[in-house]
Amino acid sequence: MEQLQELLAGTNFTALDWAIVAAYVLATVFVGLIARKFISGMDDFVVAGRGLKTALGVATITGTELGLVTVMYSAEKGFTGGFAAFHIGLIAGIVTFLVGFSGFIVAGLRRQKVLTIPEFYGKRFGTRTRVLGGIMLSFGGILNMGMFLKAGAMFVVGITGLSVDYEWLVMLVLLSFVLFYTVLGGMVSVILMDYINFVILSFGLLAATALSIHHIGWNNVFETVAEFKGEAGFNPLVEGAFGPDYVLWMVFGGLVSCALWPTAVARALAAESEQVVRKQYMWASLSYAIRNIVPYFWGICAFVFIMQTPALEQAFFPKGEEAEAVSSLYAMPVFMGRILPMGVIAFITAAMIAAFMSTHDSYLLCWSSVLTNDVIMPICGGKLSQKAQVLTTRICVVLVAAVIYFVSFVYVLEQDLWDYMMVTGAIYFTGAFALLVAGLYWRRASSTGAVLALLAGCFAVTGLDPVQKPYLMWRLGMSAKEVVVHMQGRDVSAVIGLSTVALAVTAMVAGSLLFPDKERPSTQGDTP
Amino acid sequence: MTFWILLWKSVFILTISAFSVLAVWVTFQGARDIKSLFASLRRQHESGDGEA
Repeated sequence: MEQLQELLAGTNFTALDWAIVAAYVLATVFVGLIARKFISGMDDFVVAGRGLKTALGVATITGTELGLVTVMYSAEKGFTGGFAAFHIGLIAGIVTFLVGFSGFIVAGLRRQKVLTIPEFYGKRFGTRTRVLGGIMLSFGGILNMGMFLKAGAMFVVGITGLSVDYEWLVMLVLLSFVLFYTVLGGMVSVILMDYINFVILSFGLLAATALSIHHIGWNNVFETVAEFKGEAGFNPLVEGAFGPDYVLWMVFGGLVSCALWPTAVARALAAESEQVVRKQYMWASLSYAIRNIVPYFWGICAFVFIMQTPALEQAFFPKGEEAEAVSSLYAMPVFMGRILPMGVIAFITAAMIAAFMSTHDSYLLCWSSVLTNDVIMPICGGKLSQKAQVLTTRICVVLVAAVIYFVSFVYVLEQDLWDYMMVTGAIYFTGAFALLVAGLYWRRASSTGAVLALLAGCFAVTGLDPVQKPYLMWRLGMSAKEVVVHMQGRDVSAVIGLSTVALAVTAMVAGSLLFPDKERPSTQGDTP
Repeated sequence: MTFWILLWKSVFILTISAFSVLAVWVTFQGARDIKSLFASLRRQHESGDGEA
């Protein structure tokens, strides 16, 4: 802890930078107040009256999906994987473009005029599936979001040089501001904030990238990665790098992040028309690539900087068995804190806090509207007034925020943040993939198949380190320390993720063929 | 390894350049879209179908 605090003290962050960041955060409060007068019903609160056009759609997709947590986990992947990690961003961009071009899943969902994905489950497979889908989505989503707050606080502490002891306070302050304008303004305020954040964030990303290259040197970045990581630093398929199963898992991850992840799909549902959805996705494919590639590059620059600064190298890659390494999540903020000059560092920090807020607001709103629309409403027999629905959603926003604040404290992250995100997300999206594809494109898909596919998603939880460790200790008769050594370089999250997808699809097909629905639902999706 | 280095260099330069153009376009066009979104929400409220 002391060693980390010493490292953080090397930042260029000053009181003037604090003032700039504070002014920006306070300005966001007014946005919540402005947007409030436009909210009168659930459609306004959740999908902004479905009035989203292409450019604003791109801004809001980018604002949501390029969060601070994205920057943190991507920088960590770049730091640990080198340029080989670029394949994740490239695949994400290509898959998003193809989804926009073909309209796969998203266009069909927009045509259904639903507010949330579980609402589609309800239309297609009945109320039982809708409620279960809502619960699974919220469970996986909230668990997934549990580390957002922690990663955000680590960035703020890392770049500003604040004491690590104040991480809880940073989390509380950030969360309070997001809650304020999300609870007040709903989707209209979220979209307005996303636009402002897009502008700050885009130019912030470009400026920080230019400064990183200026400081480290373009050729030096490639030469140093080649020196320390060899071919594994560039080729994702080679031994010692990510491996073919991981690359395949990322192809699925690319589809998930744009066509299955509810916060991204919420933008498709809020779009003015199906045509706008497609255009929005094709344009946003660039953002999907850049949201990973730029932070990977920062992580790689941080790696080069650290390897060329002996004190930092010793902290992040200590020699000696007993020495404890500083978390790789701190590498990028520490690097940025040292190379960015006063003023610019405030600009970048504001941009990152903007990224944090624009992700949190959408995620809070998304999980809360799912809980209201797809769990509470059906259980109440659909008897809530528009006003009561908005109030319930606002209460859920506060409750979800409280849960993620709690998760941030109790969960100890022992694997790469990105892999944690994929595994927790898989609890929901593996089942969702089977339900959406079958629901939209296969007439014989049944509600029993849908329920089985959703439940199959729970298998993904075995990809989490705290679940794997006790199992390995029991299975192999190893001590906790031996298990840690055994697990080094053996990331099985990709294999477990792909297996869960296969399990969910099999459950959907087998359940539908063995237990067909007696009555066809009113909505048949896009079945030709 | 040369192939991969060249590939990632090209990917990085291309995406950064394209994103710069996108950022400028979204900044200007997005501002117009916000105006239009608010106008549309205002119209919906005036015609009383905000609850629809």
